[in-house]
Order: sequence, then C-alpha cells, then structure tokens
Amino acid sequence: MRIYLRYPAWLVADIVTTPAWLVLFILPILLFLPREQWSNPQTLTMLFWGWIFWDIVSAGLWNFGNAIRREQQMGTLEFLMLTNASRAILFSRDIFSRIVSLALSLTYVYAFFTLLFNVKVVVINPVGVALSLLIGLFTAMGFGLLYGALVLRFKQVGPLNNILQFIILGLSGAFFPVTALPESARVAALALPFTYSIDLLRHYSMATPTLLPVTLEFVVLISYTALLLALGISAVKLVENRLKATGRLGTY
Amino acid sequence: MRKARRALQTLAAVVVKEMKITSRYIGFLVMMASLPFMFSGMMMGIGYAIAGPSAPRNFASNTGVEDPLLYTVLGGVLMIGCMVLIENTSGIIREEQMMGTFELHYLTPNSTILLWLFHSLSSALITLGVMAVNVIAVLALRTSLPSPVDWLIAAGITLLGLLPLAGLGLVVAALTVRFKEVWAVASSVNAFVAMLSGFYYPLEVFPIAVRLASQFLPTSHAAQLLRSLFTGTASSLNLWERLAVMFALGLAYLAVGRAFYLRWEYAAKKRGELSKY
Repeated sequence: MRIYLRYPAWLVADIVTTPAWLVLFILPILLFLPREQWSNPQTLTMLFWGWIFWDIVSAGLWNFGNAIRREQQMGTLEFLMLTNASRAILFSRDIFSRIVSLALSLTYVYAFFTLLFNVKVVVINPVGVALSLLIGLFTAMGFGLLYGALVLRFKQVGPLNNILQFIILGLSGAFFPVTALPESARVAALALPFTYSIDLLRHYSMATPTLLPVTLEFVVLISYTALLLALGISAVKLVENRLKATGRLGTY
Repeated sequence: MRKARRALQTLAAVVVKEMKITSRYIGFLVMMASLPFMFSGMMMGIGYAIAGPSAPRNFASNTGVEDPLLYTVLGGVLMIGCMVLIENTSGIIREEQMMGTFELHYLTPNSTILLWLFHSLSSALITLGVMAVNVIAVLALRTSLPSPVDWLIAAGITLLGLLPLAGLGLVVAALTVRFKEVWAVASSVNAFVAMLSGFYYPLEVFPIAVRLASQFLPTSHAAQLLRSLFTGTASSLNLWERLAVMFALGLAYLAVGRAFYLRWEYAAKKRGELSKY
C-alpha cells in the first residue's frame, strides 16, 4: 500500500484519463450498432462490466504475473529468496493494493460512464457483484503466479503479455456472452476460469442467465481458483529450486 | 552549408543508433506491428458479437467506410506510433539523466533540441515502416495496393502528423524533469491526444466544441487524410489545404516545445541542476 500511495501522480493520471480511454474504447464498438442503439442500457452495462473486468485480467498478467520478473530486474529477487517467507505472499502482495485500486476505479469509472454515455449502469445484486469481483481477483492472482513462474523460467516473454490479454478477454466473454462465440471457441472459453468470473458478475449485475446453475458455477470458480493458486505456488517453488541448482536465479 | 551538413550527419548518426537499438528488441517491433491487429480484432469481435450480422452494414453507415479492418488497423498504427513518439520524447531527458549520459550530449557541438527531435524522427520512421507492413497486410486481401505516389503522400502525411508531437513531448519532458513524474503526465497527454484524434471513429460523433479542439491536433488531420487516401472516402478539406494546416500546426508545436525546453535548460544550467534527477 505504501508503494501504491507513493506515486499519487499515477492515481491522479488514472482518474483524469479514464473518460478519454472510455471514449476511445467504447465508441469504435458502438460504430457496429445503429445510431439509435448507442444508448441501449443493456449493451452499455455489458461494456461497463467488461471494462472493469479488464482490470482484473490485467492484474493477473501485469501485476501478479510480472511481480517475480520485476524483482529480478531490480536485483532484489535473491534477497527475497533468502527469506523463509511464503513465496505466494511475497509475489502476490499486490492483491491488497489491487483490491483498493479496483474499488476506487469502480467508483470513478461508474461516474464517468454515467456522465459520458447518459446511462445508469444496472446493479441488481451489489453483494453478488462484489463477491464475483473479489473471487475474480484471486483467480487472477492464481493465474498470475503460474504465469509468473513461467516468466521466471523463460525470462523474455516479449509481447506475450499483450497477446494473452486479448486472447483471455476475447475467449472469456468479458464484453459479450460466450454463447456468441463459435462452437470451437466456446469449448476453450469454458476451460478458462475468467469465463465463470465475468459470467457471475454479469448475472448479479444484470440478471443474465449463467452458463451453469449459479451455485455450481460458484463451486467451479472457487475450485478452479484454489487449483490455480496451488499450482502457482508449486510452480514458483519448482522453478526457484531449479534456478538455484543451476545458479541462474539472478540472471535475466 | 557546413551547418546543414553537420545537421544531416547528426541525423544519420541518431537514426542509425536508434535503429540498431530497436533491432536488438525484435519483440518491441513485433508488438508494435501486432497491437493494431489485436485492438482491431477485439473491437470488431465485440462489435460483431453485439450487433450480429448487421454489424458491417452499421459500420459502413456510421463511418462511410466498408472495410472495418482497414479502418481500425490504420487508426491503430497511428495511435501506437503517436503514443510511442510522445512517450519517447517525454522520457528521453529523464532516461538519459538516470543513465548518467545526459550531460554528455552537451559536450557535442550539436543543438540538444535537434538531438531530441532526431530521436523523435527515428520513432516516426519506425512507425512508417510498421504502417507500411500492416496496411499492405490488410490491402493484400484486396485486388490492388496503393500506387508508389500514394505511398509517398501517406509517408508525408504520417511524418507531418507525428513529428509535431515531439514538440508536445519536449514540453512534457521539460515540465516533468522539474516535477519528476514523467510517465504519468505522458500517459495523460497520450490519452487525450488519442481520444481527440479520431483514430478509431469519425470526429463527427463529437459535439462541435470537441470537434473544434481536435482540429488543433495534427494527428486528427493525419488520421482523416490517411483514411481518405487508403479507403477512398471523401475528406472535407482538400489534401493541400489540410497539409498546409498540418505544417502550420507542426511549426507551432515545435516552437512551443523549443521555448519550454530552452527555458528549463537555462534555469537548470543556472541552478546547476542539469544532471539532477
């Protein structure tokens, strides 16, 4: 949290630029609709939640996924590895600042969205929405740990972060129901944990039907998240031991 | 004559240096070339999923362009080129300071402003290359590519559209060396330039006041001209009038950037803060 609050300019810039990014992203999509549907509350609410969910997917890739590599590049990874602290906590500490930043961004994105597009974003069940978002963050954390272990192993990922981001957003149905995807893509979508997170989020916000019965979908999401977290922690440990044995912990 | 030759030598040196550095990071080039397609794919995918089979017809009706892929890829290349240029120019002073090489630039007989502008020119040339690759990739699906003359005009429009942003970058660089948080400011400038330039939509969707503000951006003219050139749609002003407007804007942006930079440089030299970061 201290690191997060040390750079207030970033927070201010984030707030100030939100309307610009919203316009830049939403308008091109609306061009595919007839003009009279540009104010459709259902469509705009779906785009709003997709935008918020993008934050969660980004957290998985850029925050949690790159945490290990960032420490490596700063030259502090070895010092962290000298401690007996849990690697999961060390490399997922961003979860706390992400919860705060997600809550903050939800507030100002909501305000700007309402102002810009003259639409009231529908939120039928706020508790369900909050729960879906929170579990989604932990899902991102688990995914990020697994991805981070791969990044630690292979070092250079190049544009992989950006490519993965778009693939995950597209396949998980962040901006539209996965039922709109072709059959082959739907199978891949159901294998992604993020699909269930956004599906539940839309269900609690807009009362849209879920892919599975609600309780079952929650169980699937929580199980998937627990599995990802367990795999992520194991993967980080495995890669750490391997790199220590080959003397490549500090090389990047 | 000697001054001009020296300036050209400096230009060649900076461009060769930047190209060598860029060639070391192929991933960056791949990302720059592929990001426009990724953005386009996402926007088109969402658009088609939401609107169904009438999506292409609606797009054509709202933009006057039949090919959403060409429209969005072109916009994407310009947007990314614009962002890279602003960030590079804004951050160049701070980066050089942090590497400890900033003062070395003052040991050369070259104008430091020219040096930073040549950095921006290198960035713009890379954007030109990426644009050529991406547009050819999209147009190859059609029967004909633009003529060499059209490519030359496109290159001129792109350079005239992007280079003035170096002036903006110099303003940000000068201000933020004083106030430290360069990336936050550059990011904010990028967001509003991108929004007002109409890279991904016609500016007619905005209220008149916003449309007027966008006319002061060379990138908004570049976006409209390039769309008109590659998609064959009509433009509201003729080519030469728009180029004249862009040229005038370019001079204004670069003059303001120069003024800000010189003012900061003078104050920094006087206070002994040239290398302070």
